[in-house]
Amino acid sequence: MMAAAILCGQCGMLLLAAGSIRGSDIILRRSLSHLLRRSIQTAGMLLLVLSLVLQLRAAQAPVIALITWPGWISIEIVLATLACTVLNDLRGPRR
Amino acid sequence: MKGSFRVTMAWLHSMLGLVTGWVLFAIALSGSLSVFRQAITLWMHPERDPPRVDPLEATSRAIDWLAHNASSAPAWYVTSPTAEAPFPTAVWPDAQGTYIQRILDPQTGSPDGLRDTLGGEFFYRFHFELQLPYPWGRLIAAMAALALVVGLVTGIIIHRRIFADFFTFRPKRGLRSWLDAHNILGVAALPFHLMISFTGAVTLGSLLLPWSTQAVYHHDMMASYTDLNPALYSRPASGQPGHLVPIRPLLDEADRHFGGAGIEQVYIFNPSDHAALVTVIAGNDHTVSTTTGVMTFDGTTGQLINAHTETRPVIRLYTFLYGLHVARFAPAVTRWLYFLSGLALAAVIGSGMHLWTLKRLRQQPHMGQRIVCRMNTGILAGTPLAFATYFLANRLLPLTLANRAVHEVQTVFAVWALGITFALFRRPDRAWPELLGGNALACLAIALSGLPWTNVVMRGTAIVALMLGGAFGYAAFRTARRA
Amino acid sequence: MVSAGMRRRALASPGKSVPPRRPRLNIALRTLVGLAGGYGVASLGGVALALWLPLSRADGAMAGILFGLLLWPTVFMAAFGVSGIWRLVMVVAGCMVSFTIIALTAGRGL
Repeated sequence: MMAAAILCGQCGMLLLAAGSIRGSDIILRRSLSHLLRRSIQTAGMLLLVLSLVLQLRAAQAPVIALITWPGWISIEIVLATLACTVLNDLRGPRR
Repeated sequence: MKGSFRVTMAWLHSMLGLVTGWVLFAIALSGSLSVFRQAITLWMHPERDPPRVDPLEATSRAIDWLAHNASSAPAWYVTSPTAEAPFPTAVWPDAQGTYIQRILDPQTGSPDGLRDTLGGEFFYRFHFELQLPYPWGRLIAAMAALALVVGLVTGIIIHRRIFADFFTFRPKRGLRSWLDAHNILGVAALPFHLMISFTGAVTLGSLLLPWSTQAVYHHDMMASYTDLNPALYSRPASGQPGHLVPIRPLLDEADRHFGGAGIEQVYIFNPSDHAALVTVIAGNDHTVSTTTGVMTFDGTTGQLINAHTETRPVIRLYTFLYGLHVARFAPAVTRWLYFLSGLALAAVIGSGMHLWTLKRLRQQPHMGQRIVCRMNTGILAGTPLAFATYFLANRLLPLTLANRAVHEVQTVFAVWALGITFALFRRPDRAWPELLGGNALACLAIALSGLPWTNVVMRGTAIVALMLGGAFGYAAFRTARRA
Repeated sequence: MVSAGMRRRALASPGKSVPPRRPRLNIALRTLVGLAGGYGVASLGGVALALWLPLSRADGAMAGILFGLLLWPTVFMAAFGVSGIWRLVMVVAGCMVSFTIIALTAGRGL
């Protein structure tokens, strides 16, 4: 359950990164319309919420899951950032 | 107007960082280590691999040992074993009034055979007392906590493109990369940083702002203590000798009353006196708040005098905030997340200090600024080195040395002073790789001195030490290449 | 008006130990007001809240502490954010006086 929650969270974070202006350049290699970006980001947020729900179900006490969830979010943000950095390095600039 | 406000906040952010950065870095680093203070204490007692004993049984045996060996002391403060720290700890004043702290074997209740060391408690105490006399260390730490709150808020205000730059890290671009790192570590764990800094100030709040307590209680300070903890009943010694009842039944009753929260501490006042008191404080299993319940029994008859379960709203808020900070409730995963977030905070503070150095060195820094730059090096590279030396001193100092625990602590400050002095006099392009290399070697030594890695504490410490050692080694290599 | 370009440069500029148009005395005064005045506002605000809160004494005292801990950083930041040092001094002094009056008129009594 926890592994699924964390995987969910990381995918959600990657979607959020892909939906950002800089992120869509690096990850998806194209400029997206405003609507499409927001949709991807919304999907990312929903996955983060799902991650929270899964953690709440797996935890001994709900308050502990509520405290632990932002901790996982921090790690997911850093990993998504490093993924963007590495991808940017590997692929080179778009133009 | 708005532009000028941001500029002012940026200046304030830098200034505050400059003035409080050194203290905050040491607090953040020692605080992160304190998350694992019980594990560190276990690491520092390699002679004993404690078997699992029922916590109530271990506490009873500890109190039995105290009854035979510290019967004349006016009070015993016993901390019950937990999952992270499977041994009881006892603090009691000796004949001269100095407080002794000892880890007790959970099977025998005796400290014999366990080396004299503060263990992880050193980092915990240092974190909020800064090795300074009461109340100055705590006041400085409290004000530093509030300064950190201001630093974080001003940082948010001046971070103009906080959402656009959310996943941005551009390496190998000097100042830009350091700024990206400073920002990403700050933003990623921002809820933690804000929470830990504010709750840190809350834990020391009554010391920093005693005025509302004084106003409400009209100088009847005794009432303020008893009101806060209604079951912490106290009475003077009667002068007549008395015998303590068996403790185990009292602990069992308290455990039932606390409804699954477990027992955290047992205080025994005037143990050899007729007017002895036994106070039991609830633990933190499944509850964030500390001190949710307290019970006091008569020590010679075993009768319950007073029991209190906290229901008052503001006091519950306080114990919740306190509990968030000290994280006694935290199961293993949460504990690791606290540790990593704490290291991230130390990195935010450290990278901020380094940004200041890099910016100053671009211009022609005057003497004062150059000294500060070198002090930054000394603090950033010297503090982890000093803390690492504490672990090594635990292994290297002879077991029979008098005041061994004190000497272990003295080693920390000696190495710290040496590290700072070294950074002040050595050229920066040499000082950095050398100090970072020293850190890498110290971490490797810590990992190796846990061999054989028989239990989970030794393994966990070795993993963390090796990873940090690797990071320091890589940093040393990079700074050496640039020289 | 300050242009966007100038603003960016101001934020990234190294070596500035004082913000533009703020002499040293101004900084010192603001720091004093922020630290001492802020502590005063925090203490008096805490006392006022503690005396007025219709809860137990322990609750009131603790609420005063928590309120004070929120006030001090706020006043400290405001000490540098508010333009015009005399306006700042008036506001801070005004807060302290107001809190004192509120505290003195509380049912519990000082």
